[in-house]
Amino acid sequence: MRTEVELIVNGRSVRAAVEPRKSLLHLLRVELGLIGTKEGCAEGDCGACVVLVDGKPINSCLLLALECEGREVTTIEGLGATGELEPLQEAFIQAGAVQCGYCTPGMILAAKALLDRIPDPTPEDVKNALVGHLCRCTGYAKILEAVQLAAQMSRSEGVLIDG
Amino acid sequence: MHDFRYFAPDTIEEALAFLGDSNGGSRPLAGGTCLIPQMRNRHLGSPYRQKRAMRPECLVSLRRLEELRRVERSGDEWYLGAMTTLARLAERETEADIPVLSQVASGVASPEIRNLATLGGNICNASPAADLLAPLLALQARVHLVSEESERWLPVRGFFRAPHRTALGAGEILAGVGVSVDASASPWGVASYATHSHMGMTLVSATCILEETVPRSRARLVVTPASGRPIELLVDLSGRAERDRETVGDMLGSALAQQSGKVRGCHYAQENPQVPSWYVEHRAVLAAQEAVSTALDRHDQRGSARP
Ligand SMILES: Cc1cc2nc3c(=O)[nH]c(=O)nc-3n(C[C@H](O)[C@H](O)[C@H](O)COP(=O)(O)OP(=O)(O)OC[C@H]3O[C@@H](n4cnc5c(N)ncnc54)[C@H](O)[C@@H]3O)c2cc1C
Ligand code: FES
Ligand code: FES
Repeated sequence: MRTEVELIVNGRSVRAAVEPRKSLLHLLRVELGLIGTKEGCAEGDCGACVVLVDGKPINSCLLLALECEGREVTTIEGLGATGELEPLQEAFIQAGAVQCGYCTPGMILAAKALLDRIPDPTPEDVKNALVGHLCRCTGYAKILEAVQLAAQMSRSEGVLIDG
Repeated sequence: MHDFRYFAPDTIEEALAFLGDSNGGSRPLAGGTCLIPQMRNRHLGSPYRQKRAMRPECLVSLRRLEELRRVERSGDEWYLGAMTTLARLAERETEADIPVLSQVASGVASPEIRNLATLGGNICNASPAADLLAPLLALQARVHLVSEESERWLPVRGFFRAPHRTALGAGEILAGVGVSVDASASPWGVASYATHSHMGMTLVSATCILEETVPRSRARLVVTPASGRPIELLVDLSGRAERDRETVGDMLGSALAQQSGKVRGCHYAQENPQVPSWYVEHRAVLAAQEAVSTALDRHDQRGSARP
């Protein structure tokens, strides 16, 4: 039987009725049409489904939609202002870190959670933040570069604003 | 996944009353990182998984139960609520100072999984591959179990009955874990081997806690092979002024060899012929030696009296 759930998705209050067995991933993609978030393994192994819940990255395939009552969810669609890209999105393009793009939304959200916490991460910090993400195309090196580049871009933006 | 009902109580009393009335048809839901994949039972090819497939009629979410997130000092123990996430343990975001548990929690899976996964789920799942099992046993931790009618404490050792079987009674939940403040501050060492370096399944892990009660000094060592039962050893270090690591290693090797039945018969090895049990045994000895050696190094760095 469908049950109502109310949550905030990308800053907007959303109400939907879902079956208890449906995941947050299903709610986002099927009920809300936010198809930026991907499904890979549905077992917590690949990271394609990663979104932020209350600012923290989680695997949306493992979290029941009803468990998100009252929580704030950020998906890839929630990054950047309309028509503008976030430094992380820009950096992924500049560094050539996107090929088929299937892993990219999850990678970017996990990287965002990292940079929100540690604006100047070491290469080790970046690797540790992305261990739960598989990429079949890039070989990872460019993704790691992109996160470092985004950190630099955000820092120089900060300097400009401060200056 | 099959259809089930979902209930998210606001108080622990409501949760326990519901679980008590449901005749075993309900299951507590914590982070869901074990339970949800078990309920999806995707790996239909594996007889081991099929046997463990779960089809509860109702899931009782523990998410809103603030009492289960409590972390505080209670007398000479740290009390860790069952819903403490592994991320909070790993990031040392709690008041409790249990470095060995933080270190082990920080190695579990990925940051995403650690943000969901809880201490209580790690214990109640009773997987012999659970990473927190070895440190909790070595710390001689105890579990706090509550039901509608009763409340009791059990040593972690008594809580694990067999792989995937615990002492939880019908309608009972794990409320929290008590860890001695003194044991938490003792020199410690951990080591583990997994199928692969990140996100791999742990094949064997070892934790050593040095107990330094004058005049005796001993290493409490726990080795958990992803399979059989945990192996616990007390290694007397008194009089070993040089703490000759080779001797300690030999002692461990022969003690483990005597208990090798526990390492063999490994579910994981049965399911994955590419990881034979002789390999797990071999790694068990190496992990044990490394854990003891690291604990002794920590002890030396502190510059306290030699054991
Ligand atoms: C991709 C992936 C990688 C993983 N890697 C590791 C790893 O490296 N090391 C490791 O140890 N684990 C690993 N796990 C397993 C899992 O994440 C952990 O064991 C986790 O701590 C389980 O906690 P949970 O809160 O998600 O439990 P849940 O899945 O919610 O529950 C597990 C079981 O315990 C019961 N339960 C939960 N809480 C209570 C309670 N308070 N009282 C009574 N019963 C309760 C549930 O009913 C269920 O049967 C991994 C899982 C995934 C999906
Ligand atoms: S789809 Fe969720 S981790 Fe792979
Ligand atoms: S770009 Fe194709 S999976 Fe990563």
